[in-house]
Amino acid sequence: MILFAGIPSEGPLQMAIEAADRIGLPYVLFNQRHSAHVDLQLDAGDRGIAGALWIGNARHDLADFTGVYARTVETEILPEHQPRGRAAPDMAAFARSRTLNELFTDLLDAADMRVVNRPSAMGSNLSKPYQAQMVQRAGLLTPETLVSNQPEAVRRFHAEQGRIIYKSISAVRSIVKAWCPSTGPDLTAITKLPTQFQGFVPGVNIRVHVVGATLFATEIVSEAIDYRYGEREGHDTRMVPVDLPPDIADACIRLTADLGLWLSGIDLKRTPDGAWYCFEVNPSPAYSYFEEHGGQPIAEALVRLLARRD
Amino acid sequence: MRLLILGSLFDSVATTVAEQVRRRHGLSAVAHRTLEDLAAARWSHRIGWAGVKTDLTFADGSTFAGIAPTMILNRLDYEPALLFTRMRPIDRDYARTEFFALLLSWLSGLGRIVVNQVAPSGLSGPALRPWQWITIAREAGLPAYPATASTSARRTPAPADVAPHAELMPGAAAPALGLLGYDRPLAYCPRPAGWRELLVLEDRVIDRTGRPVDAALAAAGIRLARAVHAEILTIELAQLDSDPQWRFIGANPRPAAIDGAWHDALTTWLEQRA
Repeated sequence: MILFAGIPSEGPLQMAIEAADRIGLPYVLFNQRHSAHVDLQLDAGDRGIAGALWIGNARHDLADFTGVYARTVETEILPEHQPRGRAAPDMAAFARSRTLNELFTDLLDAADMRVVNRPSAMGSNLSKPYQAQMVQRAGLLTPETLVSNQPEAVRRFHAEQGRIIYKSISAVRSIVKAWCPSTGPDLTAITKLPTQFQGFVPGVNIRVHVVGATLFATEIVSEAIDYRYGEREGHDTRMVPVDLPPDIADACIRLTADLGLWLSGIDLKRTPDGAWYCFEVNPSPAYSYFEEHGGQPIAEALVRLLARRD
Repeated sequence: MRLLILGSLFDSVATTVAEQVRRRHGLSAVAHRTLEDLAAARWSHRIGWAGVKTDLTFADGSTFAGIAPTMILNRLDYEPALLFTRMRPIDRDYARTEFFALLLSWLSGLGRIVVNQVAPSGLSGPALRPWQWITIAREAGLPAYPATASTSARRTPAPADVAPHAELMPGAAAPALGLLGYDRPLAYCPRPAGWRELLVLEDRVIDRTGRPVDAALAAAGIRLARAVHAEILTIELAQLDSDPQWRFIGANPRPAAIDGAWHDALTTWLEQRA
């Protein structure tokens, strides 16, 4: 049986639940918005980690679950814990909900079942250049990268690369923007904090979703530097399913496994001369956007993976 | 030997090691840089087809290349409150997150001279949560000390004569939970009858009190350290009443103190490792 956890109206989770319904796979839903009616117990013992999950008064032994797909959010942002007019949030309910959320996170890292994805496996995403080193070890190219707080180093990098962009170093979402000496922005700001610059890689954006040993590749047709914000810049975006060269596909599957992930969203680019570059591995991909626009059965692959014990 | 210590000037482990190494190898054998030193430095960190290369110049003009360490004792504890204090609050939070990401990449790129290797969960080694440690320790051959954590004392009442085990559910101590009355979260375990601590230094295992460590227990400790990619790891073990088996309670890649039988062992090991 599958365990889904999070807010069921959220795209990726909703799509997975619908896929399980369509195929007829049994599941239990831990709706975070109903945390007040959920309890969790973990036991450490000679047989490892055991326990139980109560949804209302329905008790589920953790051993009954083959896999978990978790898209949980921080307790602080749940609507149930926001002020209502002049009424302050219920602090006891909030503390209880947060304790449940923390224990559930512990379950995700400790449970003897397939977890998509374990929180501890998602840590590489905290640092893009750190992750890039792991990507290189898996055999994929990464853009030339400079992280610096020295304006002169950036100018030399620009002269070397010809065209550069800048973005956040961490997982904090940023819009990828171009930098050049004539149009800036001014580099004085970087002296206060190292900033990440990369050599611009021309070509076609390919988004790959890896589900276990299965892979779905989507070509994104867009003129924007950052296709995620293409519409904002007046660019149309189309998604087209494509096949990857076998060595690139193998590297993506290997990289996902090396990172300890069952599901990943990998951002690639295919250059005009046929080279493949990897920009990022997303350990909690919003695959639903790509499935909606590209039609690939990612959710079905995911729930079939979760339903298996092998 | 040229040892670079990364960590606070108030870190007793770092200062103890530094003192010993200086006594044995001279003053210039040890350099010590803090988190604030790193944040104030001039950085140029490259990742690309040629690998990873970093030019790092500290505010005092010294460089990482000039220090040329043969070993880095990594005792960094990320304390963001110390950093970027002059920025606006919204910029400060972003800066602290960004700088952590840079340190993660830089330390990872330095390779095996850094002990402990950095991990996303902790700059000076894997700062795992207790339940993670229990799982990995069991896989390494260290059975878990029995314990329970539950969000509901009503569904999981604690047996008589157990001790609270707050580490398994830190949030259970929140004062607001008192308003829930009887049905509140709790975590507990049987009261230990015996206690010991081990220090793993790569392939050596030393009991804190100098007590011999049997081969099977030592091997399990080494497997645990390797499983989490830590070369320095302390392990806490406890015994149940009337059961001589040592069971896993917790582990720490960044112990707060190194004393007793561990005192010389760490420095000697660093010298051999360098």
